[in-house]
Amino acid sequence: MPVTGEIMNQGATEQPTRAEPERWLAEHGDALFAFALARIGKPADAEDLVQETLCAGIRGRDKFEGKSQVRSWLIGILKRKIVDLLRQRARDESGKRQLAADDLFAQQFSAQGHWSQRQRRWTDSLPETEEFWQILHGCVSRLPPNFVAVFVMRELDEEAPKEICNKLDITPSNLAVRLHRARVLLRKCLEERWFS
Amino acid sequence: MKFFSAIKLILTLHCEESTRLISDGLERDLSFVERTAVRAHFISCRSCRKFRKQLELVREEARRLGEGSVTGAKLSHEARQRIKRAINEP
Repeated sequence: MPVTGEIMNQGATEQPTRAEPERWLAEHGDALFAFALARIGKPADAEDLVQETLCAGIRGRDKFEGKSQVRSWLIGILKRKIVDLLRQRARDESGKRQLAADDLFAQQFSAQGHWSQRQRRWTDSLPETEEFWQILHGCVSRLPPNFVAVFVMRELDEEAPKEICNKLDITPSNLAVRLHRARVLLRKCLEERWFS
Repeated sequence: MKFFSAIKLILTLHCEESTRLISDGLERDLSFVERTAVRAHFISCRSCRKFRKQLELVREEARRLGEGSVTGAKLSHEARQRIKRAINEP
């Protein structure tokens, strides 16, 4: 069902007590799903998060003050659940993927700290096609969970570094190390998958 | 001492350190010495210049990806039905 501007506006002015969760699903379900999928990678996990978000929305309906739009209120709930899941994944990680990633990072530089391969020139802008988004998305999900968490929070959610350190309970220098490695690996993955 | 370590950073910065500073620059303001070191490194290193450009592009595109709508992902019919049942449970 297409979401028209009119429907969105109704959602914004409606009293919270009359909000119907089924309509939330119809109007915001796809948006919540796409939002979660971009950060989480696995469709099944993203579906679960949408469900949990809507259920939490129903339980917390009284707290919704109607000041914000329904969608951004739901997205706020979803964001917290995404961070919980990313942290959970980082805890469950056996260390294998992290080791492989650290290895791959090390391979990008020689013992003297120079690039081990010359960097290809990218175009000045990246193509805005669904195929490109899928590749970027795929490259992010291939990172180890620790790196996904920081990259998603910093680059997709645009959170302040201090906030991220608080939420993940890490130091600023730890955050900087993770982001640096994540970015170098992501660059490598994009170059391999998109530019060659 | 501080002076010498600053000079050393500027004169000996290699690519791995340079990419670290370029990356850090996306989170915080680099110090004068750090900025100077990266700029000096850029003069002789095309790869690191490209790297900075690439990070900027990735940042821009990641933000768009973060908005979620670009992938055109939609809930499957089955998932929608399942969620509908879940939210109607008492």
